[in-house]
Amino acid sequence: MKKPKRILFLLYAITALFLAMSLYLVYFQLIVGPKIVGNSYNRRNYIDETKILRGNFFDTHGTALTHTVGDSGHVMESPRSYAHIIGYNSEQYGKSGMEKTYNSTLLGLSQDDLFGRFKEIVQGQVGNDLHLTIDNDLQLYCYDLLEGHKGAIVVLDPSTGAIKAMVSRPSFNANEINELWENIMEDKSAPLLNRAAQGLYTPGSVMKAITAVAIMESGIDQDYHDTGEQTIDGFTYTNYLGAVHGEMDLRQALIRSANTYFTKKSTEVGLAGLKEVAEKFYFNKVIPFELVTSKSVAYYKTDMSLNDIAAAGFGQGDTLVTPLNMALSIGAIGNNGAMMRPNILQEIRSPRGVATYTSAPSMLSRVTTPSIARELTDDLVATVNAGGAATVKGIDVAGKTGSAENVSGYSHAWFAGFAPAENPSLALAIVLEEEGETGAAAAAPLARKIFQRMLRD
Amino acid sequence: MDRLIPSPMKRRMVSARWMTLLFQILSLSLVLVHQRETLTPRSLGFSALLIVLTLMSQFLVNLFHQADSYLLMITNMLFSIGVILIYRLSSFYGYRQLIFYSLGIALFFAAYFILEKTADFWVQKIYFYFLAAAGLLVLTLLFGFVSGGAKNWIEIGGFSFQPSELAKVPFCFLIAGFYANRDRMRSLKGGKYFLMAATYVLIALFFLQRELGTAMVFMGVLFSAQIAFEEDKKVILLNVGLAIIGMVLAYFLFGHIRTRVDIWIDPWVDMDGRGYQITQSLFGIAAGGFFGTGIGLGHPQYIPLAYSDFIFSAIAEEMGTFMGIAVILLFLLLVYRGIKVSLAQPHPFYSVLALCISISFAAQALIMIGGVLKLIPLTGITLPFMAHGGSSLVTSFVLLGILFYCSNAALEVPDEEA
Amino acid sequence: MERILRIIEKLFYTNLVGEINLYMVTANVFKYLFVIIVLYFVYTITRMIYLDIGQLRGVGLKRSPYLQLITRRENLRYHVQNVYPLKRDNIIGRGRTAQVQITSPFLSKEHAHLFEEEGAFYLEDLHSANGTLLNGELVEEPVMIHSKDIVTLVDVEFLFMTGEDDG
Repeated sequence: MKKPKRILFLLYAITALFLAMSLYLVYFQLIVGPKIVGNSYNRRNYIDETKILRGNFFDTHGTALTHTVGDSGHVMESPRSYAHIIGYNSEQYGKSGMEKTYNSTLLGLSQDDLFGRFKEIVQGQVGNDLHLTIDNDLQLYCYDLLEGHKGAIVVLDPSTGAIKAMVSRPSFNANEINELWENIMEDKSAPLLNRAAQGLYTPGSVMKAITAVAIMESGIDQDYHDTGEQTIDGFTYTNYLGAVHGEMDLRQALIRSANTYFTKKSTEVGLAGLKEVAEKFYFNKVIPFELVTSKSVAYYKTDMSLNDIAAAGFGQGDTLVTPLNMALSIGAIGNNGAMMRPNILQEIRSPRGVATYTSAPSMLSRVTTPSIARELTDDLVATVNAGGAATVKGIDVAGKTGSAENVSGYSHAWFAGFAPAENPSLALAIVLEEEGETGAAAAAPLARKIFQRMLRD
Repeated sequence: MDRLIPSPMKRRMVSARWMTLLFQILSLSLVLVHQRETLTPRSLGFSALLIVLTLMSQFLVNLFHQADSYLLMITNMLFSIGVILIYRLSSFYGYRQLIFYSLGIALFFAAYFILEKTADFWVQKIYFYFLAAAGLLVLTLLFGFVSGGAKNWIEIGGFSFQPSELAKVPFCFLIAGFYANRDRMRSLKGGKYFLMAATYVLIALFFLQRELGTAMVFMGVLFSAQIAFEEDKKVILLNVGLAIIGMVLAYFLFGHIRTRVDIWIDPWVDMDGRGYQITQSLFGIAAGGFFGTGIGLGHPQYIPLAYSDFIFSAIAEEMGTFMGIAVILLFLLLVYRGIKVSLAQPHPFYSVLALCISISFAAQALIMIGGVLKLIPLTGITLPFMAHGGSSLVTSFVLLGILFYCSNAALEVPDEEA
Repeated sequence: MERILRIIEKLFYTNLVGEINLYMVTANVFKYLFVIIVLYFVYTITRMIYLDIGQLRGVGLKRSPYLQLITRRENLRYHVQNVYPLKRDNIIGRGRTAQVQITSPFLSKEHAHLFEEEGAFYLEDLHSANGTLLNGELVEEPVMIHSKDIVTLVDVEFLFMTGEDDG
């Protein structure tokens, strides 16, 4: 009745399982361990931290963004402007931003070995410095530009993906996080939220730039006769201020920001086409980034009504986008259709000043062909010129404004653009949350100021 | 004095025993220094008692030439590794663990002697075992209190224990009785399904108490016993089918199971709340490196329940990944030994019993270590012989004692039934 | 106790170099020792088990050597088993320490020695009071014993069986 072969089989199976677990332990120690050791929830790091001189932050020109206090910590020079990028560092409440993402690096934490620890203890550990891609001058300037508003500004170099400035307001004094925590938690305007990378806003007309790509790629007829009204499935769309534009092509539609055009053409492009293009622009996807991001939402379900598709086409409906995503998208158009991976970390420098890591640009997505990108760029230059609010003397600026209706009743004011149009070194997205004014009136002038400041000197 | 040629094997056995002693001495000295605040005659007594008990038990066990003394040797090493870390975390729990150990060793030998005197008494019973196991579980349901998310503790006269742990003993006997009296069962209508039905009833009782881990162990033991002894392949397939259906059903029916699976898939989203335990465990293991931080130099106290449910993580932190692997290998040796006992034992009842006990150790170790490594969801199971816990430790030693008896090569084999 | 505590504190926990104290050094040295000790233990036991593995593979197909009782049990006043499995090294006798323990009043505590050496089995008498017979002959010096040989211990007789010619 006893079956030795089967029992032996059990033995072999169990042996295999135990051995596999041993191997996994080794794998864990080698690969997984180092990744999680620096986690801010790992209290072991706090013990070491008081003995370690935490590394400092610098901007792209080497300007110090933080300075050391005491024998182990540092404070920000501009705690409000950088609150969402550098983030807070609190023993009680943990860490955020780059302080969190690069905690191990700032502490110079080496993995286990006795001799590494020995050296650390004997010599007194000093962490690594982080050099960011941020331009401090621009960062502070943008922060001031947003004064009195809620919202975000993201400025980046579209050819490399390097973030030049990223501000979010309302903000908070990150140096005093422990004292302010209670108030911050109560604050309904959510100052801890990094609106630039995590805030999700209805895009409104800035979405038309992306829809334009879909229209061009689909090959449908781009001409349209506008009567001031477009009815789709019983619902009627009108243009801003009820304008009637007569014969239009795509460029005209962009210049006039004609809702009627875009609703009609969206339904012609169809659900599949719109979704595909949106996802090339990294909607519905997680953008790889050193800070936490939200996924922009391009809501395209197969049972959508025609009206839902139409609404999505001109940036209303369920569409939501983050300012970071918008900046990347508009930048991609300026960069011949190549969306670059965004990054804030430029370099890691050891305490002795040696660069141990330098970031290299990489392409995130090819959003469209270079020829379509160039054609759209020309359209967007014409759009800005016609609008006049974002123009800069002597430089071609390409862009699109937007006024997004949303549940609050006060529209978000948007501007997304890049300059100089032929070979842009800057792309930006500005959103003024619940501003109640049009993008042209409120957001575009800010963009002009930024372009002037950065490109005219 | 008669000549006794010391064989090379005997010499090696002696050297292996010294290893445990050496380990104990070195680690005890270290831990006593570390816990110097609580250095009292009591702690010295603790150390002495540990060493003495280990040496004594190993000496005694070698007198039983018919049986397998490796079993206790391996177990003593495992226990030593565990109790050192427990004492390092808390002298209070360390003392308690040692007291349970004394009780365990005593019961180990007691189990052997009882079985030796009454070997035939156990062989014919089946229903008795089922009732014993079910009875224990029902008792917990009726009178038990909740601790740590599972209602499986009972308090008697100031002592709390877990009947679900004890239920393992009658369960192993149940399986042994079933397969040893196979012909009798087969002659009954539906008899060949009895074991499966009984097991599922017990598992259901476990679910009612939210003791998922032990339920899984029971399932594993049943399944292995079937693979080893069941002649009717249909019964095995039926079991597999029911188990899969059961697991899927359980997932959809029970919220707390879904929670555990969620935490297993991504504990990082809720490190303050549900994911706290497993993430802290992983931090600890990662902090240890291959040789550990050194006893007293790490922070296993940040791992919740480091002295019981997560003892393995604490060991990995302060004594390293290599020690963790050593623990795994020790369990492997123990299980291997037990399976060998099953293979070599001609008596059908005790052969099956040996297999069940071995598998139960294997299952517990696999499920427990797999859980703290986040290979599978956490189940609240404890590591036999190492985790702090009276019921667990005592039951494990009782089972070991029974296994020790099963390794008795001189058991009389009953005549084969016609 | 207090004094001891202070001595320990002073000895182990004063900083020697930088932040390092003696305890730290000791613990770090010991951690390597512990791994070595336990892994060596595992190795030792594994080797011992490996040496047994021959028997494992043979189970069910080939049994390890054993003594098979020939004498009828009713004729004996004491308890004897039908079969006594044999290890590599076996003491036969009345005593507790015997691998083959037979509680016969005629046997000495350590009566005979049946052992294996280089593939062959040998039987020797351990200066017992009543002697040991192999195939009827008195055993004095260690003598080689073969399968199916008869071992007589005063009034009880066994057949020595090795696995090779089973069935």
